[in-house]
Amino acid sequence: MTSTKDFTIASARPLPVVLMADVSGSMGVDGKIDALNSAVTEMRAAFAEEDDGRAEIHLAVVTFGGTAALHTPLTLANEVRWTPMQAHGRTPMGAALDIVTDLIEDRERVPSRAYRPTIVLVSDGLPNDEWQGPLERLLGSERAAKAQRFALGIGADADHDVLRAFLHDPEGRVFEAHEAREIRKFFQWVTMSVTARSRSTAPNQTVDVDPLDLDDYGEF
Amino acid sequence: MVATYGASVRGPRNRREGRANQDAWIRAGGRFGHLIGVCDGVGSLSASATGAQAACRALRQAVPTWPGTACSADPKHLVRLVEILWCLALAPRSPAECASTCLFALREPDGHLLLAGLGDGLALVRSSDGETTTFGGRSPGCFGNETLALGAPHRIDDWWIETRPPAPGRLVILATDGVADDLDPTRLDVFVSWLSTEVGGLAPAARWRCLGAALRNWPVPGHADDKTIAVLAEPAGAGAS
Repeated sequence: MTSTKDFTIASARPLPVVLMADVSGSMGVDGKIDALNSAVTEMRAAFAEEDDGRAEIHLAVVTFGGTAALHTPLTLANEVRWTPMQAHGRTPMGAALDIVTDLIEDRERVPSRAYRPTIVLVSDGLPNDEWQGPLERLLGSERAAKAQRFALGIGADADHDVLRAFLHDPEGRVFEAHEAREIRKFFQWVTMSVTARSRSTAPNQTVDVDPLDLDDYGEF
Repeated sequence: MVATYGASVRGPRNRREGRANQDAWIRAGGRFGHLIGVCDGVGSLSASATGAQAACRALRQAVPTWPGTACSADPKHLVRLVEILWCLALAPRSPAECASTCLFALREPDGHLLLAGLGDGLALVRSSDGETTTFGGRSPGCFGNETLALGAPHRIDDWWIETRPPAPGRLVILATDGVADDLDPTRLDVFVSWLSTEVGGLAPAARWRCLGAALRNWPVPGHADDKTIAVLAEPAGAGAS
């Protein structure tokens, strides 16, 4: 006797979250990389606890510092084996954008049953490679262009024009962080927005979470 | 005899929110042959259920006008007619508030098979030698729950259309995305075998109950969509009927 379990996928639809993290040498100053590692660890843990939503949250981390690399492959959040990011080198954001576009356009890694992904870009400086072309490629791609996007500029040297171009939304807001507490707060906001989508009856639609409301949530 | 059967159930989301099933399906037989169709009202719109039901009615109205694949008529004319009949059936509602996917299979009296679809969902044909071919599915750039549909901007060329010459013993399965998206692509043979042998072998009332229960008790975590399956089974050795 056949069971429907014998021919169906045993997991909920994935909701991919891709973090693009600037880990250039300047992130090693003033404890920024430690604050980023801590905030991402907290976000991953919050995603991992989301087990009753419409979607299961998958997390990937693409780092750019010296070289751009897939630091954490797209993995179910509660199965991510987290390795803290290290800061070094320059800021090849263009190469990181290409990795993200390739990842989201890959239908093996992000299947068509997945919900619309979220991309989070965090940077404290200027890209040192050609980034306009890769960004145009991302924004012109079939699937990556549909991703919900968040951007955080860390410190006074963050290039807000680049981050605004990444958002590509006149109403989009680039968030600023000048201290560890604000980095954490930004990631709490991202976490709230993603988990609200995963619990929503329509996870493809963006759920507006006002970052100013975060004080009401206190602890996650 | 060609057999047609199927079932449609509300998904957990519509059950919880007290909304009607926004999928619809049809099976019909007549001088035009045998028709099955599945339609999925899109996006929890106010009249999604109306749109899906109207699409099924439009299919039923359109197929008797089809002169047959052997006449070399262009199937695009048939899908255009489906679209027109659908729009007329909705009046005074606007098509945009009733958007619906539409997949159908027409088994003509001489055994030709015409399949067509607009939007997500799955069409599958298994030949008598066990070879399985799938058609349709989500557009390459789309994520879950994004789809082309009647009532949403599209071109007539967005319909996929397939014709097949007469061959005995084929099985045709249509499913809305609530089912199709959750099927393990490496286990489609098990799905087909279950529908053709275990479900298809039951008496009609028991078959309907069995299929409905299976769709209601869908095992995929977090599933929310309405679910619909329609099946057309040709007898082995059948030519024209």
